[in-house]
Amino acid sequence: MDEGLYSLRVGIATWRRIFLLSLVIVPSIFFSGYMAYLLPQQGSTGLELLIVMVFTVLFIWISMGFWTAVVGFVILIRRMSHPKMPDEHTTCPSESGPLPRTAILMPVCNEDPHRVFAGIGAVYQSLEKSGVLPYFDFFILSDTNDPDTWIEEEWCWYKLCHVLNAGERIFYRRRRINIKRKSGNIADFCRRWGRSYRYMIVLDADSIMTGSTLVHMVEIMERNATLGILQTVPKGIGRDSLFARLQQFSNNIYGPIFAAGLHFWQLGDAHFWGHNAIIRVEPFMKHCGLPRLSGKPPLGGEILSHDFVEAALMRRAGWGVWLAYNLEGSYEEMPPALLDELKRDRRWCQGNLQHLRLFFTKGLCPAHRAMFLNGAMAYLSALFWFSFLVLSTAEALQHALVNPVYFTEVKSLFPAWPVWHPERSVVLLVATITVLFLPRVLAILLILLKGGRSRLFGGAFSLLLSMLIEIIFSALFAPTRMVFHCKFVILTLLGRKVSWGTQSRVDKGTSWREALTVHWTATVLGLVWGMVTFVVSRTYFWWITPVLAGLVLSIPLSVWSSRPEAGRGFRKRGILLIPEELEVPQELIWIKRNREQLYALDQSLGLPKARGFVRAIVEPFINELHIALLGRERKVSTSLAHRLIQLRDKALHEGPDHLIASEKLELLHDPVSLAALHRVAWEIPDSRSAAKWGLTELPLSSG
Amino acid sequence: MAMSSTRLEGTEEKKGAGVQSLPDGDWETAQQRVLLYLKCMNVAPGKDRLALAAEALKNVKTEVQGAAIPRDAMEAVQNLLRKSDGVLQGKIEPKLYSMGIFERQVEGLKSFPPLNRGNMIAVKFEQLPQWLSTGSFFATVLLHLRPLLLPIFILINLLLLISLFFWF
Repeated sequence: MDEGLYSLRVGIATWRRIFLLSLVIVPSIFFSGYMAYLLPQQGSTGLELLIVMVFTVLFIWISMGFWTAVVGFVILIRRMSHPKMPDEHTTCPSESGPLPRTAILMPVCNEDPHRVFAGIGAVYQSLEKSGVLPYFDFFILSDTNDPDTWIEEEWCWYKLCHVLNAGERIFYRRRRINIKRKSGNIADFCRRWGRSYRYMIVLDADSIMTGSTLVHMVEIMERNATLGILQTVPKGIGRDSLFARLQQFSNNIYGPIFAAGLHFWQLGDAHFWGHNAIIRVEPFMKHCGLPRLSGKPPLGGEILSHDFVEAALMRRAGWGVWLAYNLEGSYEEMPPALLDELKRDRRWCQGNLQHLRLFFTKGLCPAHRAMFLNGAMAYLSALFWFSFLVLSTAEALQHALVNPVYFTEVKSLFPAWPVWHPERSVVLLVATITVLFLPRVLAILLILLKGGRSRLFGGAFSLLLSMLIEIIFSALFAPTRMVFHCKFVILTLLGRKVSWGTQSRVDKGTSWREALTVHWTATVLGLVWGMVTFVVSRTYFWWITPVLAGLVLSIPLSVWSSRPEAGRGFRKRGILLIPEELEVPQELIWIKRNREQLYALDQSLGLPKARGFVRAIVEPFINELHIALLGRERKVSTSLAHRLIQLRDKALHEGPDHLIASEKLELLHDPVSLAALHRVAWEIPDSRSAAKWGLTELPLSSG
Repeated sequence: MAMSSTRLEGTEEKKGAGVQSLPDGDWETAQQRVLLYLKCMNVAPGKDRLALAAEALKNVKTEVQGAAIPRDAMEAVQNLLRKSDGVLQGKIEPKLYSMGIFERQVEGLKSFPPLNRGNMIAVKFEQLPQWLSTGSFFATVLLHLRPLLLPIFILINLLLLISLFFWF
C-alpha cells in the first residue's frame, strides 16, 4: 500500500462522510414521502405517521449498507483496471531488513484445545516457511475455568511444543481470575510482557492467518508511524453445517465490497473487530486500558464489546485505525448453527447497547461515535422492523374492518376518500428490493467480471445458483433473527444480565428438542399472525408471507441448517462453494495435520478428553506437567489446608465425578493435593473404585 | 480376571516363597496396576515392560498382605523408575516422552517467558450518566414489578389494541 496512505486524512474523510450522508438522507426523504403518499390516508392519521417514521429510520439504515456496497464495488472495479494499491503479497523479509518483535496472542476461554493448538501450530508453521519465525512469539492466553479443558490445554501446549520443537516460542498462560474477560486478558499480557514487543497480533480461537499476511501487516505498521491498529477482513472458512456454509459463502462473496466501501468512508477511523488485527503495543498500553462502566450490568460494569471502544480510544489519542480491506490470508470460522449465532448475538447486543453510554465521551472522533450508534442500531433495527410490521398489520386490519369516515369535522366540498394504490406500492417495493439485493448482485458481477474468479466458486452457474439459495435462506432466517434481536434488546434494557457462555465452534447440530424450546414462540407468533391476516386481509397476508414463512418454519430450519450432512450435500453438488474449498490453503492442511498429531500423541489410559481432571490425577506425565506449570508450592492457611484434605478424601471415597467444577479447580491449584492424589489413586486396591479413576484392567494384547 | 493365566514370573515366585495365604486377587491387581503404570510411562511393550513389572513385583516385601500389595507394588515400580532413569532411556518409546519426566525436564518447566513488566492503567472517560440510560431506568422500575410484569404487559397491549381499533 502507498507510503503515507495510512496517515490521517481527516479532510478527505469528512467530505466522504458528508457525501454518504447526502446519499442516504435525500433518497430516504423522497421514499418516505412516497410511502406516505401510498397509504390510504396519505400519512394524515397517527398510525400512518408512525408507519412513515419507522419506515424512514429503516430506509436510512438499509441505505447505509447499500451505498457502502456500491462504493466498494466501484473501488474494486477501478482497482481491476487501474490498480491504486501495490500488490498485497509480501515483500521478501530479507529485502526489508529485520522485523520488529511481534507477539501473536490467542485469548481463549473453554475452547476446544486441540483446535486452538492446531491453529496456533499452523500459524507457526506458516511463519517458519516464510523464514521470519525468529521475530514472532506466540501466546495462548487462557481464561478457561473448566477444569477438564484447562488440563487439556496444558497437555496440548506441551505436545505441540514437542511436535514443532517450539518450547522457546509458543507460550501458554492461564489466568486464575478472569478480570474483564478478553480485554482484561490482553491487558494482563501487556502488563507482563507488552514491553518486550512492538506489535501484537490478536487472533480468535478459530482464527488463522498466513505467515505472509502477518509479515505484510508488520511491514505496513513499520512504514506508517501513525498507525495504531490495522484490522484485516477475515474470511469465513472451514465449516460443514449448512448454516455456516451459507455464512461462509456470503462472507466470501459480499465481504470484499462491503469492506472496500467501509474503508472508503472510514479511512483512519476504522473498526477494530477484536481479532485478526495488528496493534501497536505501546500506545495501546498507554491509551486503551478500559475502565468499568458505572452502575450494574447489563448497561454498566465491564465493557463487553471492548474492541470498538479500544479503536475509539486509540484514535482519540491520535493514532490511526485502518481497515486493510485488500489483505488476503486472514480467516475465521463461522458459528455452526443459528442457535450459536444467536447466543453470540445476545452478548454482542449487550455490548453494543453499552456503547450508547459512551456516545458523549469527550475527545472521540465523530466517526467512532457514529460507529457506536451503528453498532447499537444493528440490534435496535430489529425493533424498528418489528414495529413496522406490527403497525402495517394494524393499518391493514383497520382498512379491512373499520368503515371509513367520508365527512370529517373539517368542512370540505368533497368527501375524504381513503385511497390506497397497491399497484403504486410496486415502485416502493422495487426500490426497497434494489437497496436490499443490489449489493449481492454487484458482488456477483464483480466476481464474474474478474476473469476466471468464478471458477473458484464452482463456475458461473453454480455461483448464481448459490446466490439464489443464499438469498432464500437469508430471507427465511431474517424474521427469526428479528424476533430474537427484539428480545435481546428488551431484556438488556430491562436489566437482565448476559451470561458469558463459550461460543460453540463445533458442527454438532441442533437437536429438535433444543430448537423447539428456543423457537416455539416465533412459530406460534407466525401462525397466529398469519391466521389473523389471512382471515381479515387476504392481500396483506400475501405481502407478509415471507416474514410469516420464516417464523413458522424456524424450528425445522434451525435444525436442518445446523446439520453438517446438509452442508456437505450442498457442497457435493457444487453449491455454496468458496475458493478455499477448491484451493485449500496450506495453513488449513496444517491445522488438520496438527490436530491428528496431537490426538495421536495422546496418553495410554485412553481416558476421554472430557476427563481432564482425572487425567491430571492419574496419568503420570500430565500430573507431573501440571504440577510443574503451577510453579512453586505456596503456603496455604490452616483452614484451606483442612478443606483441601476434605476434598481429597471426597475425591477418593466418592470418586472424581462427585466433585463439582469449583472443587476440582481447588484441587488442581494445589500441587500437594495433586501429588498425593496421584500416589493414592494408583494404590487403590478395590478395582471398582480404581475404575472410577480410569484404572481398569489392561489386556495383555494392548500395547 | 483375564490376567490369571498369564501371571508374571515374579508374582509366581513371590507366591511360591511363602505368601500362599494371600488372596490371588491382590497380586493380580498389583500386577495389573504396575503394567498399566509402565504403559502410561510409555515403557516399550513386550519383553522390557514385562521384565520391569516382574522386577517391581519381586521388590514387594514378603510380609505385605491384602490391600497393601498393590500399594507396595506401585511404590516399588516408582522407586525402580526413579533409580534407573538412564537405564530406562532405551526402553522408552522414542516419541513424545523423550522430553518427559525421566530426564526431569518437566521440573521447573515454565510455560511463559520471563516477565518484563509495564503499566496499563484504565483510562478515564465521561459516560452518559446511568440515570439517563433508559434501560437502567426501566430496570429499576420493573424490578419491583417483576411478578406482575407479564399480566401488565398483556393488559397494556390489549388496551392499546382496543383503543387503536376504536380510535381509527
